Amino acid sequence: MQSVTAALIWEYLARNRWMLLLGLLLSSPIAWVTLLPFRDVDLQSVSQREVIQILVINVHCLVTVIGGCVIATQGSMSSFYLKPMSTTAIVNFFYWGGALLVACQVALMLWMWKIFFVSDWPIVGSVLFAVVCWGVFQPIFRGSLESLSWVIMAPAAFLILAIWLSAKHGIPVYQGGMLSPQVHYWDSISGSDGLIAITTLCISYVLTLWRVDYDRSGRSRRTWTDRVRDFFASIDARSASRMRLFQSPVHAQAWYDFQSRTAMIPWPVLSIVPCFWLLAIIFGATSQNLGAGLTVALGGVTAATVVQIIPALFLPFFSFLGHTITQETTTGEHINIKSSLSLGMSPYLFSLPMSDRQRAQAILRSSAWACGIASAIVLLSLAVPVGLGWGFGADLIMRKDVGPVKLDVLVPWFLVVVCGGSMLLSFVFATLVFTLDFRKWNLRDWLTPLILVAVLIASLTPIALPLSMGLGVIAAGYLVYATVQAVTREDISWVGASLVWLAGVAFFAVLFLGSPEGFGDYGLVLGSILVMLAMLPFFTTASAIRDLRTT
Amino acid sequence: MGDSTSVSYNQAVEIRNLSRTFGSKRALHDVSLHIPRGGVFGLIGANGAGKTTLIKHILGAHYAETGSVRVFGFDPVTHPVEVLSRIGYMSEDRDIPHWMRVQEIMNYTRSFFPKWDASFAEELREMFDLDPKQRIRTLSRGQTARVCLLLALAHRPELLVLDEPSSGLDPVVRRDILAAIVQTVADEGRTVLFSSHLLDEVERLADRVAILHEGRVLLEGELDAIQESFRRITLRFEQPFSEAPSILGAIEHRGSGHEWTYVCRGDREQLIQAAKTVKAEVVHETPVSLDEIFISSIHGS
Repeated sequence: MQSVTAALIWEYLARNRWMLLLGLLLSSPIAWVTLLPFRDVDLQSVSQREVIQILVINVHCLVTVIGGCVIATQGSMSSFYLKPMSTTAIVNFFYWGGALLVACQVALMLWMWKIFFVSDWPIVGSVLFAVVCWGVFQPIFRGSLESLSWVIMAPAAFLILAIWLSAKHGIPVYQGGMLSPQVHYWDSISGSDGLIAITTLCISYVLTLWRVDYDRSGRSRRTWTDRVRDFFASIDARSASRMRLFQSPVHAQAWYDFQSRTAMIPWPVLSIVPCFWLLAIIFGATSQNLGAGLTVALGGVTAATVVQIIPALFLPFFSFLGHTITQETTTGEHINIKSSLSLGMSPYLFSLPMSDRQRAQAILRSSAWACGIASAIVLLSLAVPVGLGWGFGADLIMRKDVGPVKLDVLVPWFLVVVCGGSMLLSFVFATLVFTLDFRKWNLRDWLTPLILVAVLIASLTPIALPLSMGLGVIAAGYLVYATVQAVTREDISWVGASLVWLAGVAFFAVLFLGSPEGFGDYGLVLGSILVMLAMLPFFTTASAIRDLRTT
Repeated sequence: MGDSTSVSYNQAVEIRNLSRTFGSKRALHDVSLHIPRGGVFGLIGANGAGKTTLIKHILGAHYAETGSVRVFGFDPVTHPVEVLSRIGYMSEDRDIPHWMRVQEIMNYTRSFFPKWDASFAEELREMFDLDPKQRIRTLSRGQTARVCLLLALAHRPELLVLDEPSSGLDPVVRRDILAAIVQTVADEGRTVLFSSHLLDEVERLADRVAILHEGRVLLEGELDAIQESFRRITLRFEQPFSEAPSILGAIEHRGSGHEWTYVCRGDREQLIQAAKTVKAEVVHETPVSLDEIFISSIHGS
C-alpha cells in the first residue's frame, strides 16, 4: 500500500464490499412502501404538498438507513487507536470518507427514484442535507457521553441543523408547516444554505475530532453521567430479582426470541408515538388550533407504522451478518462454516433439546407478540386523536380541494390499510429471518420477498391488476403446497393448520368488508397477498429451522 | 429408532464411516468411532483436525454426508430432543447469550431439561462463586466457562460433551473443569467426551482416546493399550550411519552415527527381533508419553 489512507480504503472495501450494497437494498423497500399508498396522486409535480410529504419521509428514512449502514460498515473507531496514525487521520477517514459514501449512495437512490417515480425530485439539496445529517451525528456516535459539557456540546450542531431545517423547509412549527403551499423541499439551494451546511459540517468535524482525541487519550473521570448510568444500573439490578421461571421450552424460547430479536419491533413505535403527542400538544397550544394539533398526532400513526416495518425489515439482514464464518484448517485452507446468528439462533441454543416444531412455535409466538404490541400502540395512537377529534368536533386533516376529511373516511383507511398493513408486513419480515438463506438461492425460500417486490413493481405497470392477481394465484398455490408439506412432515397439526387458515379467512373478510373507499381492486389483491404471506411462516418456519440447525 | 432400542444400547456414541466435506475441503474422512457408556473419551487433534466438526455431528448440527452417527441409538439429526436431552454440551466458543444474567440463563436452560437438578445447579453456582444477578457479558472468560460448565452439568447428563474445555483458561478454572469431569464419571454410567490439544489433561483423565488428523482417525483405543503399544528405544549399531536405518514399526527417529533413537509401534519382542536383524543392540528403552505418541502419529501420517 502506498499510504495509510490507501491501506484503510483497501481494508474497508475488502471487508465491506457486499455490505455497502446492503444500504441501497434496505433503503429501496421504504420508498416502495411509502409511495404505494400515493400511487393515485399525481407525483409529477413537487409543488404538491403530498409529494413534499413523501419526499420528506423518504429522504429522512434514506438518510437514516444509509447512514446507519455506513456506520455499521465502518466499525469501531477505537480499533484504530493502537495503530500508528494521527487522530486527525483517523477522524478524516471516518468523517469525510463516511460523508462521501453517504452522499454517493443517497444520490444514487434519489436518481433511481427520479427515474421510477417523480421526475422533478431534487437531488443536490437532499444530498447536501444527508451529508450535514451525517456530520451532525458523528460527535454523538463517536465516543461515549461522559461529561455534562459534552452532553451540551454534542447536540449543538444538531440544533443548527434542526433550526435550519425548520426555518427553511417547513417542519410544522408554524401555521401550515410542512403542508403550507409555499413550502418547497430542497429544490433550490441559496448561498446561505451552503454557508449553513459548511459551517455545521465544520463544527461537527471539530467536535468529533475533540471527542475522539479525548477518547484516545484514555482519560476518564467520574461525571454526573456516570451517576445517571449507576442509577439505571441499580434499577437494572433490582429487576433481576423478578427473574422468572418458564412453564415450558416454548415459553422460554419465545421469551428469548422476544428479548434478543423481536423486541426491536415495538420499541421504536413506543418511542415515537409520545414524541408526536408532545409535538401535537406544542403545536396545538401555539397555533390555538386543536384540529391542527390532532393532525400532528395523527401523523404519529403513519410514522409509527413506518418505524414498525423498518426494524422488522432489518431483522433478516442482521441475522445474515453472522451467518457464516471462515475457519482455517491445519493445512492453511479456509472453509466456510455456519456460525452463530447475531439476532437469531446460535450453536448453544441449537444444543438445547427442542424440536423444530416447538422452536417454530416459539419464534412465531414471539414475532406475533412483537407485531401485536407494536400494532396495539399504533392503534392507541390512532384512537386518541380520532377520539378527541370526534369528541370536540375538530377537523383532523384539511385538504385544500375537498376540505376536512371525514372521520368515517379517515378511520377505515388508517385502521385497515395503515395499521393492518404494517402489522402484517412487519410479521412477514420478522419471520423471514428463518427462511432466507443468502448462501442458497433457492426459489422456494425467496418466494415471499420476490412476490412482495413483484407486486410492488406490478403497480407501476398498466396491467397492475391482472399481474398482481397472477402473483396472488402463485402465492395461494404455494400456501396450499406449504400447508400440505407441513402437515405431512408433522411440522404443524391438522388442527393448527385449520386454525391458521380460519384466521386467514377472517383477515380476508375484514379486508373485503372493511376496505375503505378508494382502496380499489389492486389494494384488495395486495392486501390478500399480504395475508397469505403472513400465513406462510406458520407452515414454513419449522422446516426452515431444520435446515438452519443442521447443515 | 425407538426407545426400546436406545435403552438397551451399550454405546453412547457410534460413528460409522462418517465423511464430511465443506466445499472442496474434506473435513472428515471415513471416521469410525465407538464411545462406550461410562468412562472418559479424549478426542485429540491439532486445530482444524475435525474435532469440532465431529462433535457437531454428534449434536446433530451436521448431516452425515456418508456413513452414520448414532447417539444412544438415535440419529441426532432426526431425533434432536431424544439425543440433546441426554447431552450436556460446552462449546469451545462459550456462545451463551451474553445479554442474560446468570440466574436468567439458568432458568432459561432449566426449562429445556426435565431432569434439571435445581439444588445441584445452585450448589455448582455457589461453588463457582457466580453472582446470579450478574450479566454474562460482564463476566471474565473463566467465569463464563464456569457458567457454561454449570449449564452442561446441572441436568446430570448421560453424556457430557466438552469441546476444548480448557482452552485459554487459567489453572483454577481448568481444575474446576477437570473436577467436573471426574465427578461426572463418578456417577455410574455417565460418559464424558472431551476434545483437547492439551495432552497432559487427556493423559490424566481419559480411559480411551482417538487421535484425529486432517479429518482421519489415526489412532483409537484404550489409552493404556495405546501407550503400551508405543515405546522409545535407543539402538547402537555396529557401524555408523548418516541416515537412520529402517526399523520395522518405527514412526519417528533422531540421532546420528552409531546411536539412533526410535519411537516405535508394535510388539516389544518383534521390535527387538527387528533390531537384531539390522545388527543393533537395544541400549535404552523408555515408555512414550501421549504427547510424543500424538506428535509421532501426526508426523508418521
